[in-house]
Amino acid sequence: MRRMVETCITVLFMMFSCSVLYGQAIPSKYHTYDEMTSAIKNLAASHGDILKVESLGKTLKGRDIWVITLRKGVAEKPRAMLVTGGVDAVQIAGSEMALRFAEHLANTCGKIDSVTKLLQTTTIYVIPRVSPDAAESYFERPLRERSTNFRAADDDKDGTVDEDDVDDVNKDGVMSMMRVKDPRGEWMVHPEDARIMKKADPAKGEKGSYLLYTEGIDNDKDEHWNEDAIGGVDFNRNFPFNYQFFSANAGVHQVSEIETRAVAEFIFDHPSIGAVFSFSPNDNLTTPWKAEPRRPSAAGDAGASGGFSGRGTGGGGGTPFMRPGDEAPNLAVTSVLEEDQPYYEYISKQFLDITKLKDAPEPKKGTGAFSDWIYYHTGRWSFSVRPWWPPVAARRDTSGGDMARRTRPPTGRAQAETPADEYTEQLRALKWYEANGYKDAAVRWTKVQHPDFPDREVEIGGIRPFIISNPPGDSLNTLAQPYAKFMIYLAGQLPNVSLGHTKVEKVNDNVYRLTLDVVNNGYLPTNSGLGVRVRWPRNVYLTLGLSKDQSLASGRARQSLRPIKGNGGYQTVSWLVVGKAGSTVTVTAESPIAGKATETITLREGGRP
Amino acid sequence: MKTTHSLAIKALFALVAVVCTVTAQAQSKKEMTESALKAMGAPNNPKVEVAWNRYYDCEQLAEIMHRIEKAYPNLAKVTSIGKSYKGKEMWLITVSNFSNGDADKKPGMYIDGNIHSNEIQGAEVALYTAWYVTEMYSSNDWIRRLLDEKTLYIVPTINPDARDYYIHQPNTASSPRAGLVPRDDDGDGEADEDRFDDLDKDGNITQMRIKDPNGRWVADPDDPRIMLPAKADQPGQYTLLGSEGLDNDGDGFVNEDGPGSYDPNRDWAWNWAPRYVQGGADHYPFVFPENRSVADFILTRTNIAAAQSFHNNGGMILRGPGAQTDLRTYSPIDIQTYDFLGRLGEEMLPGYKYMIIYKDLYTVYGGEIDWLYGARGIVTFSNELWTNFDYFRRQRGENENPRDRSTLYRFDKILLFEEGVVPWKKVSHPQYGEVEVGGFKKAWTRTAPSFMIEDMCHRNMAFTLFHLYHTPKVEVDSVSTKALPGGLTEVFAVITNTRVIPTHTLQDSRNKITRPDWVTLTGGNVISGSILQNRFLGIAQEQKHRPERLEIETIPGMGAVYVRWIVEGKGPFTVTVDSEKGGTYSLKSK
Repeated sequence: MRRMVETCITVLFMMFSCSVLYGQAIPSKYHTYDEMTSAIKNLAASHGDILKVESLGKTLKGRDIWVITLRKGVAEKPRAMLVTGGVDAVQIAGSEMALRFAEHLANTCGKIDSVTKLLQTTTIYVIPRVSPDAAESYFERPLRERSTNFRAADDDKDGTVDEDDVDDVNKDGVMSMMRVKDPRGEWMVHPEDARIMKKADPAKGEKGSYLLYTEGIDNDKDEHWNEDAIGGVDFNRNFPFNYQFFSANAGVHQVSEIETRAVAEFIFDHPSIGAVFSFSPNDNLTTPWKAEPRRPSAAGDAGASGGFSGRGTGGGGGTPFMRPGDEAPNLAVTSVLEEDQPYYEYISKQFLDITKLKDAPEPKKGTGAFSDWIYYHTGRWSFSVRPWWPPVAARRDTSGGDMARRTRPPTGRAQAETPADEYTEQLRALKWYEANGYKDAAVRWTKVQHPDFPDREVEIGGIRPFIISNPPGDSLNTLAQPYAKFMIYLAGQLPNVSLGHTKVEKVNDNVYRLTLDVVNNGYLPTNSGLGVRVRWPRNVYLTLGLSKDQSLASGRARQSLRPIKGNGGYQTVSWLVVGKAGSTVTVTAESPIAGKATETITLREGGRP
Repeated sequence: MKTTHSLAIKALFALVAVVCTVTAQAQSKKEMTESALKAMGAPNNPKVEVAWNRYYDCEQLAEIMHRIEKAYPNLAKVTSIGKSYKGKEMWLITVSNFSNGDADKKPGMYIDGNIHSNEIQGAEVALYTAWYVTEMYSSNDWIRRLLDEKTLYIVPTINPDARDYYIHQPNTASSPRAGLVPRDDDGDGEADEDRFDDLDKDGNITQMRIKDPNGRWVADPDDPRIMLPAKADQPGQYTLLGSEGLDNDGDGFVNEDGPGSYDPNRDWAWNWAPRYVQGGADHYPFVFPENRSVADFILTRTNIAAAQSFHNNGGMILRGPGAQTDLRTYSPIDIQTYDFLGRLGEEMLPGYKYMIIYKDLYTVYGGEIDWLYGARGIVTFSNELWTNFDYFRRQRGENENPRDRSTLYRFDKILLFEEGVVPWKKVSHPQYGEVEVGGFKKAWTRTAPSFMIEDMCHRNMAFTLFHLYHTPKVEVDSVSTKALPGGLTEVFAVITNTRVIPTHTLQDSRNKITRPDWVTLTGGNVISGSILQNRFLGIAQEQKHRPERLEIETIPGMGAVYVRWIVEGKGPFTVTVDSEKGGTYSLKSK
């Protein structure tokens, strides 16, 4: 453990050195789609030997979904890790981190041994912006947070599509919130920060005095404001695990969108992908997944949502249509399997050690979320974290990212004085921006004349779009470094198959007993528990190649092995081969995820050629 | 390599066969003459000659569809809804009276067959429907009214790749079930590398047995084609070795990686489950291009209120839910509609039982008909064509073993004159040595024999036509006016649905799948509009927003909705009901 920490610190030191040594070609700012495209193409042009870029398809707006492939050497390498950014398009910082990771690998391959070695044995795929149409909202004016693509959707099911979008009522170029003074309103000014609106809790003696809407006009005059905005489908709500039919921005069904299908197809087309790292709100790196006891599901548990019963779809409760005996067995895995949990715990610990990140907000439970789907339905290891969250009010250490806070033990979850609630992040964000000299983190509440509310006090203001999930652009390059370091570490934990302890025993001049171990020298097992269930990730396949005059007296020439644990875990296999002394057999163990090992063995006492 | 070679030859033969069939049909057309006495049912002298006593491959199905279109351009239109994995067109035939309104705005029914590759006869039933209604349109009033008011969307096969693979390649009656998207079933990194092998080259995959004094199987002394397990104290004669095939990939397993391993009917988005829960589920819902094309088509046709899928076999009229976890989706009020139609079907289809999939058959997650109802609110059935009942038109006795296949052999013997079974014959097997192959031919046991196909087609069609008939039919039953002070008029209208299916099933309306029905008043300035909740007590609920176009959640089957406006003006006023699934209708006040 101690050694691990030391190694990390060493690597950390190297990282900072290298940013100085090798330079940062990509400026520390947010990239529009066009800028990102040129940055990627520049990387491909300057590092053509190890980096290539391809499009997974074009979005409705004609933008390409880029995938960057990094690998040293020409042959297709088994063992791969995929990194995705922009899973929640509002977290565009994740897209920037992913891009910088690709750049870092490209810049340091051949210069830093660990990176060179990694790319010699492992392929890294990076899809920096999975939903580019949605992510572009960061650059559009008026500024608005939009996590959806542009698929036309009749959100309010009135037979008209996208007819009541938000509007920039005060023409300040920002889509903010809009509050109307009204004694019947459920909202109040947050007692700790007047820029934040809080829902009044009558049980705590609070009383509302405002109606609260997103900024806009009731364009279709149905007395609902902005209920059928332009677009679309949210990438991170469109995947099949715990998918919620008929819910907002989820799409007409699972994987209905160009973007989600392109990424899903990419993963199934690349069986070598053993782990996926994604920047998303469905964080399992600061707080690892925990196995939860299985509960019997009530009939209709999934039916209400139409999705397969997943985590968080509500439980128990009878329905009017149920009769006694209608309880259905719950066959779905809805929390991490017990055999996989320790790996998630260990990797989470490494994440906190390496990145020194802390005070993370509560992970978001997903519905139709990408990173959940990766584990629960594709069987790959899935790791996810937010690209950024507002640190607890300390001033930003401009000299070294989060180094300044390294002294405190990493605890993952925030240790707030008052229990965290849904406003904690907003409060922290505003404090942090203020402490660091950013003045426009909130739009000051300002009175406007609103056509829908004549003679009423209407104000527009509130927290500026995007600031809670995304750091200032000038800190991106610094903040991306610990993530890059962790991703390099993570890619090094993939399973790695080899052959060992080969033993040949002569039973007779023409009969030999061949015994060997199929070994996994990686950290992760050759398959996850969920992978074994869902059977998409292939187990290690073992082949014994015989020549025509040889035959087997015991054992199988071709067989699929059970998962082999990491750190030297092994499975012993034995054959009885009938063949001439001095003749050879070839043993090959391979899986796309764990790599390939081959050995040619001579039939004579003692073995080797 | 060898397999590929024989495939190519088979394909060539198939092509020749198609050409011959088409030529034969063209010739037979001239020979047909109008009979002296028309039997009730099929048309006497159809414009489009089709023999309904055989099964057709994709090219032949398309050829018949195009002939129907050509003969009845005003009633039938053939288009493609997409391409299969192998690039075959997925042909849709839309049937309606095109000169009486937009077909896509009339209440519609979607019908398909053959989602499972080997379950071919659904295509013939579906196509018979298009053929029958177009041929009968001019002579049968009931059919004419149906096509004037409604639309049929028929895709005879939604699995064209594997339909042809089933027909033209050696197979059993049960293979393949999947389409032809390659999948690695045995985890060795190769897809579809250990298929069946037709050892005796007769186009059928039958069973293999080997003479073995230590085996535990014996030939039935009454019918030596039948293999029976030896009695506990009886010496055996044979060991059974499964379906015809070799261990092509040398892994010690025979036929373990044939085409597909997935189930196209576990690929639908509603209540989909991964394959460790639901065998046959694949990467994610609608991963297969064939199903995705169907879904995309249905999503664009919000007028579809009814749907039917055809499978084989067992004589069932199935409704969802496919899984117990989905019980809540099927509400009592919608089940009443299902029950009405299901029982009607039982009456029309002797030997068929109206059943609920999860309870009476087995559990299905991600089935087609659950998506049609769950995600789209469409009343949908799935029929399992061909049943044990049909052999001798009697129900199986309670004590009869459902797995006992002696009835099939008996039927084969006395009605098919032993055509349906390959007698045991010796072949040399490269791995097992001398074995015998024999057993049921692929076109037998799950598909009707020639002389029963037309009966199957007609009865199942009749069931679907009544289903279509009962899609909602909205009308403005009456518009009455009453003068109010100040130049105002109260307008009262009764909007009816004269069929059994509501304009929105509860699944539809509670999830707002299709838009509400719109009841619009024109001819005056509307001051207020309301929907009556109790017409006897006059209790009404105002619609504040756009009162001239009232939004009706649903118009119940055989039911009515009552609306009232206060209008400036004296009329006449026109009231129009516009329902996506129930059609449109206008009535003017006197």
